[in-house]
Amino acid sequence: MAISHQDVAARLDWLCDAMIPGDPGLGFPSAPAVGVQDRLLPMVLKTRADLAPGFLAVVARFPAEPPADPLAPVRALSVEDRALLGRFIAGAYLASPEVMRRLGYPGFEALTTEVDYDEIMAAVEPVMARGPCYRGV
Amino acid sequence: MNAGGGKDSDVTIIGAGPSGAITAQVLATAGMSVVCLEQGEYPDYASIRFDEPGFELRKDMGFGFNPNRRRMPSDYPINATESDINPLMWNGVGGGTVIYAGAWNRFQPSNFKVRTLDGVGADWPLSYDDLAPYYDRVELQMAVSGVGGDPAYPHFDPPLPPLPLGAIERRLFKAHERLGWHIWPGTNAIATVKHAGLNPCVRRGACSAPACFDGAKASVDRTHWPLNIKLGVRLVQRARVIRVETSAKGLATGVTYVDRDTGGTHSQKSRIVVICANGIGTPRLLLNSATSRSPAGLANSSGLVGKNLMMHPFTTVTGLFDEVMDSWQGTAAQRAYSLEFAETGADRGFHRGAKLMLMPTGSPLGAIGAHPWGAETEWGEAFHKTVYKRFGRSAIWDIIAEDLPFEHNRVTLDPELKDDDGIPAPKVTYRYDAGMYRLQKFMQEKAMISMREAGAYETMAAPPLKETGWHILGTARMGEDPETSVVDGYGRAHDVPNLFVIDGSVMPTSGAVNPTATVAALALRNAEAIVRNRHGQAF
Repeated sequence: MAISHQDVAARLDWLCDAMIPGDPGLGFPSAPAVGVQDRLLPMVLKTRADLAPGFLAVVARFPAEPPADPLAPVRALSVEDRALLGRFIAGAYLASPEVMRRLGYPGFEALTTEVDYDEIMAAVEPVMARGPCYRGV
Repeated sequence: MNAGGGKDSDVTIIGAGPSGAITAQVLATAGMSVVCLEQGEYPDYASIRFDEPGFELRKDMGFGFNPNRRRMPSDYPINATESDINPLMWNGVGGGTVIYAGAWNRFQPSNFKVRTLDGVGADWPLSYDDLAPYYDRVELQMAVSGVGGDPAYPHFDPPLPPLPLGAIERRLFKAHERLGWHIWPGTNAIATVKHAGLNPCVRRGACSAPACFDGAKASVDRTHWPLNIKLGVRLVQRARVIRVETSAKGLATGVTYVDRDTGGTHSQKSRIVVICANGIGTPRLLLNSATSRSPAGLANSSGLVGKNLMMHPFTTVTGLFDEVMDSWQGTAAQRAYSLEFAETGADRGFHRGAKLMLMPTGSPLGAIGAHPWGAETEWGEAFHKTVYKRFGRSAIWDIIAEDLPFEHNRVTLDPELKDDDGIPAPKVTYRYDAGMYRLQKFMQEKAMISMREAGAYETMAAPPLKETGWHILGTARMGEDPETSVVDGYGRAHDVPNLFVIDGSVMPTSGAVNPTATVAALALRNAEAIVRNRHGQAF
């Protein structure tokens, strides 16, 4: 029987917090604080419906209650499973507009910067001044 | 809709990637009737949207590099279990140009005389000077932008103006000036002004997908196929070629293909067959076209079809900086390159060399994986510190190493694996040689020196990378001697005079740079030779 998000919600509650806690020093909120579990993971699960069953199966292997060292079972995963888990949880977290703002990341923004030819010529002139640097045949 | 084949043609081209597109344009312009059979379709750039949440997670859907993971209907399986590198490609109209970065470099003159100069590899049956006029012309077709006068080459000028320098480039240019090392602004097949049906690049960075959603990167579905269709080229999509057919006299008579819409098998007869199916698809097709007359595969009297596979072993060095350098921003092609170590150097313990290619590091989700950082992010309290260090404050030297040809690196037919249409699939056998390990270590050390001189407080050399087989070369080598090559200097099969191979398969050596410039220039040169020689042939 297919595992649903609801089936593993309790595990995700502690797992998201353990994997991405807040960092007051750098000014980043925790995964629960930006709604990873409530709002962002559903979007990610829908976006990657092809990978979602694998992700949910990985989460289902975690204990329902957090162990003393909640990151220990994450470290114990295979590289592939840990990458899948991280991709979903971090993918959801980093899609948060608040997190993007704190990272200074505007998203995929178009730029129309003018080319500064003077700067380019100043950069290449020392290279040209050293002369040809390919092997003669 | 499948445009449908059927009517006999002067030429059948197999593959609608860059070499197929350029060849079709030359032949159709000369008045020849051309049918191009392509196993895939046009790319659907609307299938994912960079402005929708989840783009980062979806961007490997449809435009991922690895056909064994992507598994689109147009893909065929490749057995790479005995390969140090996974071959990467995109099967559809536009071919590899749909997913390439657009980094565009000519080969240097020495690349054509490797055997003569260094006693390894092979010489080409043509020189840089022979190919230079074709580079000039194809660079206009492919909207190549950059700065002229690079002293690593005989003088040439890219036709389009360059992209502006960014913070990353400024640091590295100053560093290389202090080191006395070559560096040059990136030349890329990316339009900077409206040209060839392309829009100017807006450096959005979604090209890490790796397709271009702004219509600026020169992929031939945009630069060539619209005109090709107007010229009357019949492009048949979802047509997977099973074999090249030959007559009792040993001439090609056309091909047999599967219509992937119906599963039906069809024949496309023509006076000339041109294979443009890349360094794996081409030998696969030749080997699958064996007959009682050619039991080892078509055009394979030399025994070299599939051998001498080169895939450009690739590694990276990443630098971390204190400064935010907008390193998520595009273009995700080469910002700059250095050919300081591309030529053979004395006492290095290996022949030939590598290109350093300066790249941005991309968007936040890319900061959590193992590549190019050397290790995946730690979770818990370390997560934010890792992302903070990596994202936006980093740059990569990609290292593209010149791969030497060895016959034991090869493409064969897998005895059991077949594609969805029941056609035997290719098996790739590829191993690094000891010289390559030395070359990569040498280049990583140089790249670290460069990054540190530029101000990096930490540098990371990538571990061995497997998912890097973008350049698939050498498996139908060209040369003047039929005993040591598959095709002549114009791509004509020594054994079958009306069969041509026009793609990276024919390259006797790989150079230390991205090969599309040379593949495209060869296509233009060899297609024009077909036109020139079409009269007075035996076929």
